Amino acid sequence: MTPTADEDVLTSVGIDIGTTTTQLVVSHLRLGSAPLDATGVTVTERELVHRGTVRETPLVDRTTVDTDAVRAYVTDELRAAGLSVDVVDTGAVIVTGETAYKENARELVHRLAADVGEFVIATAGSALEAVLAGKGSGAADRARRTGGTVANVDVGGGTTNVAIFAGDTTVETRCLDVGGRLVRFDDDGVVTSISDPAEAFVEHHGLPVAVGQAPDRPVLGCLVDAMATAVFDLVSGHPLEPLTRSLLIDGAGFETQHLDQIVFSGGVGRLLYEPTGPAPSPLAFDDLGPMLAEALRERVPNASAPVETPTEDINATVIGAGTRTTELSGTTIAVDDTHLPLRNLPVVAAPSLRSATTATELVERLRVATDRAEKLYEDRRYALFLPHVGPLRFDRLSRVADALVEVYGSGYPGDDPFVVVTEQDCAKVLAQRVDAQSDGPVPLVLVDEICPTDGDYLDVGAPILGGRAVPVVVKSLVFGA
Amino acid sequence: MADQSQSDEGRTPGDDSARSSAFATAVESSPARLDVGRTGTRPPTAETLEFRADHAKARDAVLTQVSGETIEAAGLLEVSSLVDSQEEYLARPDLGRDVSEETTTFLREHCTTTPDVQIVVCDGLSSTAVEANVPDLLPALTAGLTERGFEVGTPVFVRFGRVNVMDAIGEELGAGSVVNLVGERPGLNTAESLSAYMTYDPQRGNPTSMKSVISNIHADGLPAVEAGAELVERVETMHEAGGSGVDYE
Repeated sequence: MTPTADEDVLTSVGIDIGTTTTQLVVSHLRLGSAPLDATGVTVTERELVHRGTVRETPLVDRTTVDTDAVRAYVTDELRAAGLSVDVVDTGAVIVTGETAYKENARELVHRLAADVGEFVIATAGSALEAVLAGKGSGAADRARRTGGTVANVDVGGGTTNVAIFAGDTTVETRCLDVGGRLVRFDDDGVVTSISDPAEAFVEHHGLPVAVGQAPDRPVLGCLVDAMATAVFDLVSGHPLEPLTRSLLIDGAGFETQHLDQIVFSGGVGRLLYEPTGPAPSPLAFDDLGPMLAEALRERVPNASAPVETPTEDINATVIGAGTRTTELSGTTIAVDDTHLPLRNLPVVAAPSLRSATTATELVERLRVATDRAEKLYEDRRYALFLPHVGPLRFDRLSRVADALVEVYGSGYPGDDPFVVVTEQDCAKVLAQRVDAQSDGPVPLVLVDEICPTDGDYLDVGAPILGGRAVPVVVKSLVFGA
Repeated sequence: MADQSQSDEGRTPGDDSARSSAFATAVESSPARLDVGRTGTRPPTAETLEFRADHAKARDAVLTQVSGETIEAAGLLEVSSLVDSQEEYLARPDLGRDVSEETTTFLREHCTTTPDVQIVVCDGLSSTAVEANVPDLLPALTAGLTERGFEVGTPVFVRFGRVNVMDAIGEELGAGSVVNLVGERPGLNTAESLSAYMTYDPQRGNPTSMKSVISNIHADGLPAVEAGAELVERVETMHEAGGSGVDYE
């Protein structure tokens, strides 16, 4: 693959470090005009240009990822793709499943992200993982194409992540501590480790499974049966069995949805579509993967909706990470690009300014957010999100700009960038008003048409398309921070 | 059968039970008049009235004139193209592109000559677009340009003006560049859409390819006030490049 010089194409890298496997993919994102929108820019085409080998996630021990081995893999794959780090425009390193709980996971992904490219994000979080898998597996496209409700069930080594898409929206995610690698075996079928969630199943059903012993096949059959039941329990929604409920990762805050289709992805998902037959042993991967897949497959005929095939299975998450994490700001933005890229900026949302009319009221509302931010983030590194600035009138925006100038003047030390995000299309005029109405220069980064929620994290990349837009990534969770 | 056609008749728009979710998505995402239901062989009365009202709005946008108050409130100097009436405006596009000798003299007497940037507003095919957008666009544009060191000329309103009238006025006033805000041909979805044309070193007879444009300026497109700010930067780029239009984009 040769690096592209076309400025309308972004080179994006995705790296997924999962419970069982690690993979890297490289894709090209082509940018173009948004339909029905003369000034908007959107990703019009996603092309996978390099698919790295799937390799086992290297571990030093149960709680530590082998950082050097992962980095060596990444270097090798980038070389195989004929790619030097300086042509990477964007992308994501995501640590998923049980690997996210490893002691050095956080440091690993942050270092990798910084090594691999200027604007590659480091991220984790089962909700994001679920959504990326569903976008990578084709479930999201299926929902968009059919207008129906499609659940993507990504069953990996450590976790099962469900993302539900209806039409072109992501409705919700559900995540469970169930995966193929919850129990590990040696070559003689002797259990070498049982993770806590597997222990919960073992205890609940009183199964004779313990480290150092080789359990009978029917015993393991009962175990994977219980796990498969929990997976389908999760897919069908409330009410959940108490055992399923106890293994939820991000809580039970989801609605029960009528599903039109179900798609499986992930390493175990792949085995579900590809029967291993009698030839490879059920313990071919020294784990429960093939048996869990078998147990899931048996339940497919009784599922609440038809089970369809994914376009990607074991690679779904990494492809989602490589192609779907970046969104683009509005094309009328104002950025002082000496401050870009910005990474992991916590978002602090101001109350809606809609009903604030006087200058004092406007400043008061902004201070609600900035006072809170100053307590939370002493280094003043955060993005101020304005959910509603009021009607987009010249006088109104001049008043909002005055309020921003006042808040900036009293709250930001030195030349730290003043990062402001608006949902409405008004970044350019607001920035010009701030410039005109402040006494000194304000190092402003103002991005519009982005709608994060309070507590999200934001990455803002260097301008693309000759400064017309910036890539923005909104992350809903970074290591549970 | 009879029951079936009975139940279809007078069906209220937006009745989800009778259509697939894919169709529902199409109806929601399109501004077109889809799935409006029917009464007998015709659309329901409410839909028919709404259609006629939208059509009337489009006609009004073409046939009514920008009010004196809007022109005065925006501080625009009013002149006319060579066109005398609304009928002639529609029939003779060529006359909408130039101004008379008297108008030229009037402009020279009342306007700043040789400004860096001359702003022109034309009613074009939608007076509604001018009324809806110019009050917010113009101050954002003027203030933004002034702050960046441009001398902005006296803004002019041209009644019965077409896009290319900007060349005639810019040439006569010796402007470095001209921005022309013109009401777009209205449709049945919005009658409020405005376009902003820009040209560097204006001369009569310059081809359209020497003009740059920002279109779809309206509440659901590019907001007027943001368009003003965007134009400031586009004018700045145009002056830095010393040209405009396809060769410079």
